Amino acid sequence: MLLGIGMLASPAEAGPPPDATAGRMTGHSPAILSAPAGPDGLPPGREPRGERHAGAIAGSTLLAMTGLLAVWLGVARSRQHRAEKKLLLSEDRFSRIFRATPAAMSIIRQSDGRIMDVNAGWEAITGRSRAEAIGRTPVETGMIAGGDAEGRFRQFLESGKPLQDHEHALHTRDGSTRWLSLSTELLTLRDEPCFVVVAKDVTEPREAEEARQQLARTSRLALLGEMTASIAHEVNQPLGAILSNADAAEMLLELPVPPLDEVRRILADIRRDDLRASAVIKRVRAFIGRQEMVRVPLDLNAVLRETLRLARHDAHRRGVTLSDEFTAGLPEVHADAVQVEQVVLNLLLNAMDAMRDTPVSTRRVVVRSSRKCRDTVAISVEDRGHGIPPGKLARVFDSFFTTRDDGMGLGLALARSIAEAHGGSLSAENNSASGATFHFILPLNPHAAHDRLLC
Amino acid sequence: MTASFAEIPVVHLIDDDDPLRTALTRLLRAAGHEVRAYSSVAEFLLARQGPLRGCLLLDVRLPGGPGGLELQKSLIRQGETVPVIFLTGHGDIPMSVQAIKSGAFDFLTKPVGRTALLTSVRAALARGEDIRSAALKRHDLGTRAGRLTPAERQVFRRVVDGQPNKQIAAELGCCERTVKAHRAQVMLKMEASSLAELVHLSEALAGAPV
Repeated sequence: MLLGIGMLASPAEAGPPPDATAGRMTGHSPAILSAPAGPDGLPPGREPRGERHAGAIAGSTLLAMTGLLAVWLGVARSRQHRAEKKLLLSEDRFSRIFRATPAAMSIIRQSDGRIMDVNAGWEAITGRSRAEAIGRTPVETGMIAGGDAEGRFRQFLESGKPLQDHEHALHTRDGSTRWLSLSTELLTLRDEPCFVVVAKDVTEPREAEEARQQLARTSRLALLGEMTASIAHEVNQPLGAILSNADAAEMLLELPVPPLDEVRRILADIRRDDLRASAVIKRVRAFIGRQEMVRVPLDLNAVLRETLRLARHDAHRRGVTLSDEFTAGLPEVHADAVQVEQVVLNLLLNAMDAMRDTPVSTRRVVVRSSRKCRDTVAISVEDRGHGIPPGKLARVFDSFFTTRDDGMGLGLALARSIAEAHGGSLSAENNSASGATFHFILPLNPHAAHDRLLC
Repeated sequence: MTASFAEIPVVHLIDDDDPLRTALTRLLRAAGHEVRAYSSVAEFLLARQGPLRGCLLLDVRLPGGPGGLELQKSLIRQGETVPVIFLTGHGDIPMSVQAIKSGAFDFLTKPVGRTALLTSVRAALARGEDIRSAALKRHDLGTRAGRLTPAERQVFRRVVDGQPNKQIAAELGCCERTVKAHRAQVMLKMEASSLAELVHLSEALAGAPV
């Protein structure tokens, strides 16, 4: 019943086993194979979506399994030429573990990519039977498709590089797509290099994450809608300068002796203003265009400065003074710039809304950045508004909680979910004098444990 | 520099956006205008000395401190008659309406084209000069009227009201010849060559500082 292992164990009889066995099967191959598709998919180092636990479990299962396998191999190798009996016993042990584990596992031969064996967990996750998988490659089973599936799979095989929590799409029989998180290890089984593949179904966490990103994007669109005037102003100023500069240059060139140096300066200014306008448009596009979270090292103060710039015009319209108190020389944070901007913009607009009844002379919002402790940085947004009723302090982050007539009450709930997706936090407190302060805390290292944020 | 505030008409430009201010200044200068540019109302107020001559071109929204509308109101309160052109951006319609209602000369939407800008500025400067010469004329008339004696002034008022000499003499309790003498002095001092011109001058004088 050690079908796969058996084949490896007795190459002489097995002949070209893949084709022979394949004859009996119609199926598709396991997750293992879809895993390899690395090159076109997300880079292996990429963040796993969904809960980190998923990856952790898959990873640790793999570790345990490969450990056992290595033990088994060591045992098998050293004894193989000495005692066939003992070998069979070891094979039996590995086989039992392979069969018994609830984790979805498969074994794929590196030389030709054929599936050597799969377990029950694999059958459950892929919806394909062991019989139809064995002897075929994952591409042949139809589980990985689209693009250059074959090429990508071959590349994976040849590279021999193990995968760690690599997400890949699996095509099910009914044409739908499920997402698997794959981890692989290359081992030598009977002198043949094989990949042991552990797959975990992460479709649900992934879909939840996609829904969250979609919602975040929708909310960004709503935020931009509130700021149309600001954005139009940001684009119109440079456009106005370009137009007047061009008009001026034209008039200067009509003079009997055109001042060419001045015309050259004007052209340089036109170029600069054009770039300034397109930078605004690029920023708006980035703000609404992308859905996936992309974390890169960020200069937090620079992101905050840009956000304030976007809100400044709006603030002026509302008679609000925006000021910043940034701590210089903050270390870079590993975060998604657009999403950080979204959270801060949200907090800024809320702060300004909260000051509708505040006398104009005291309408002020202060944005601060600081080093919270060794591993975190903090952004705070302080207003002089009506504050949060004490009983409602805990509820402001609930979905659909709003104090505005025209609000949907999703802004803060989303802002907090964005903060948490970054391994950070978002909290609120009332100031002793007036208004409220929101604290957005981000870890320098996205994988830092949550409890470290409490310092 | 400051002395020229009143010597020739100047376009006083107030905009907080450096590149735009530079560009507008270049364009206005290329069109032959004298331009003073300021980044804020405060900067303008600090530089201002004596009466303004020319026109004001300013953004309806200016961050920090007083904005364009506040400046306009303050100038009106001070009796400053210099024409004000507002530059407005997207979504400033309510403000533009307010500006026009409180007597703005014109408002231009950014980005503003050369023809619209220069036409408006030229018209504003011409209006400014008209207002100024009218004011000067009133001032001059006031000076002339100031030279009249109280008796001549009484005669002046009655003459332009259309009263005949005889009636004036009766009202003032003097003889007709005295009225004629006063009347000749009024014509002389007011530099009027006819009764019609005298009536016209008296109308121009209404409200002028005497």
